[in-house]
Amino acid sequence: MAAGSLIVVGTGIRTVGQMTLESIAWIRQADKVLYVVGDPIAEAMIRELNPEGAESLSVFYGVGKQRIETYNQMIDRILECVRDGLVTCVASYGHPGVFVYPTHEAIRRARAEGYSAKMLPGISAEDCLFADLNVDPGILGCQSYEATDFMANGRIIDNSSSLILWQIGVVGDATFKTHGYDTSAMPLLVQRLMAYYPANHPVYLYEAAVLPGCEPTIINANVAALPTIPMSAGFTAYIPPARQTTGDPVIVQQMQALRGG
Amino acid sequence: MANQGSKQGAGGHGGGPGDEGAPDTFRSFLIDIATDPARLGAFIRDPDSEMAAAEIAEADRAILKSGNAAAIHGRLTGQTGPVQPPVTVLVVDAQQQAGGGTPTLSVRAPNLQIPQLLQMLQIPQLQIPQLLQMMPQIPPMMLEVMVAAAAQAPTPLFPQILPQLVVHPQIQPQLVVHPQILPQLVVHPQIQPQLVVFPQVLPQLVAAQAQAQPTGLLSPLQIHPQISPLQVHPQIAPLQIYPQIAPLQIYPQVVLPPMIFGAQAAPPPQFAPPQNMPSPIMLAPQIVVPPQIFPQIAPPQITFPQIYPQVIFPQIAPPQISPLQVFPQVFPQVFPQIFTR
Repeated sequence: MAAGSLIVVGTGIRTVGQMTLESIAWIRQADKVLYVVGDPIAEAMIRELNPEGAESLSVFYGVGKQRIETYNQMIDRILECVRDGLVTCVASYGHPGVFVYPTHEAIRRARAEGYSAKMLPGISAEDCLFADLNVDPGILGCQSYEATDFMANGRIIDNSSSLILWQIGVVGDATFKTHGYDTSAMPLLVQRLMAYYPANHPVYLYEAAVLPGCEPTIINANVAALPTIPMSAGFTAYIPPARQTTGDPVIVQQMQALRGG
Repeated sequence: MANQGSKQGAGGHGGGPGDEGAPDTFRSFLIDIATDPARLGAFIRDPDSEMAAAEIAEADRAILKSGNAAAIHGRLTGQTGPVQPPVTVLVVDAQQQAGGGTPTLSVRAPNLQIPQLLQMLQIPQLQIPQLLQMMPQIPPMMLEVMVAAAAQAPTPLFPQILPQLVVHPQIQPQLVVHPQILPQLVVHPQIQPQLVVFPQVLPQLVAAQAQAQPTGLLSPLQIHPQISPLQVHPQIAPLQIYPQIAPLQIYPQVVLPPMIFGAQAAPPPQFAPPQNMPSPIMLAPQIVVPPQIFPQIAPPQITFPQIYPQVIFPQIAPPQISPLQVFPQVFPQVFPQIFTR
């Protein structure tokens, strides 16, 4: 096993309260802490926990720049540190493995090169959504897609189950912007959703609270009204089921028969 | 990762003790409660005391307690200028009134434009009563709101959320269309009607029955088809009966036995009607066969309930053909012929 290693941790959506003790310990002990965080508390905390090794990866973002290009540059920087023999900690906001391409790819490459690499779980926006909207994905199921991926790849959904669309506020825009993402594709998303839902079917636009003392943002809207709502890039859409599930009595009977009932 | 920038884009609050170079007790305090569970617990239990103990300035305390993300963010980043709240700031709260009753909705939208605010205030989805039945995972407070809204909403929109009731027949058309898309099953009896009729007139069966039963008990009403197969044919009425069923799939025996009988049966032209007619009891093949000929009476109870009973039952079983409709086609045509003999 090579000398360098990689550990990926998450700071949670709201740093105050959602950082795990293990993540804090790794940030303290690492030789290098590369971070991509969204709130000033997280950045200040990381810099205080590891003032010598903290380094932001946000410098790779650029207005109008393709995000995939930024991600690849982040991966290269991470692997540079690992190859230098450093215990490298990558801190990402939220869950470091949920909708974070660079961390997964960096781990894959590091392992392929013989380095130790692993990821610690964190609290994602979806976790916060379940808590703040008081919904249980285990009751009626839950489908989760990135909004642009949902459209571009023709995802098939079951409208008897919940649907979560990530990054609905940047749908159709693959570039980075500090604000004002191009959401001109929103009507197409509505058109796609209306193949599964009535026009007045509720859609909950959700953004978790990032800073202490703040409340989450929850907008009650409906499918048809989505293009008229001012969007934040941090929005996640939660769409409740539109119909009841269709039972399969044959399978039920077969399961009962296998149980001897 | 894509929303990284948006979380940095909020405006500042202007000034504050967080300027560069000077120790920032506010920021340090937040870092402490983020990394020290004990301090975070103390802050959760009594924020004012904890902030006072940390010597947080009154202005910073007010900012932290305001719940204004833009102000807190601006204070931490030291941004100056007018506060620009985040784009999405509409929050709908439902507060239960004391003593029960309809919850009170409050909408917090500090900087939302009027048209948008009006649109939000309509809250159309709260007027949808079907949510009460379809979404048990809705927050209880929302359920209460929607219960009240449903009581006031005169027009239910249930059909919009029960698409499966409409779609089902489209998804499983074969269950309904089968009889319609298997014309060969309809034609078959027409091509070889004697295969169906001849078992009724097999001489060896009739002879055996005649020997076993006294002639006085014979019932010419039921025997008659044996005498004149050509007249019996209309009794089967394949055009009316078979199009409604799929005997090959449901009752293979319906098709196979006639083939066997046909091979064993004597040529129809040479057949001479027996003098001694069997009794109705002895004409068991005729009695047993009709259920095989008209399997549409039984299949819904045997086959379909195992698959989609709620879809099949109403569409197939009774409406298309019933015993009351089938049997009159068979026997009334026989009766006059018998009476005229």
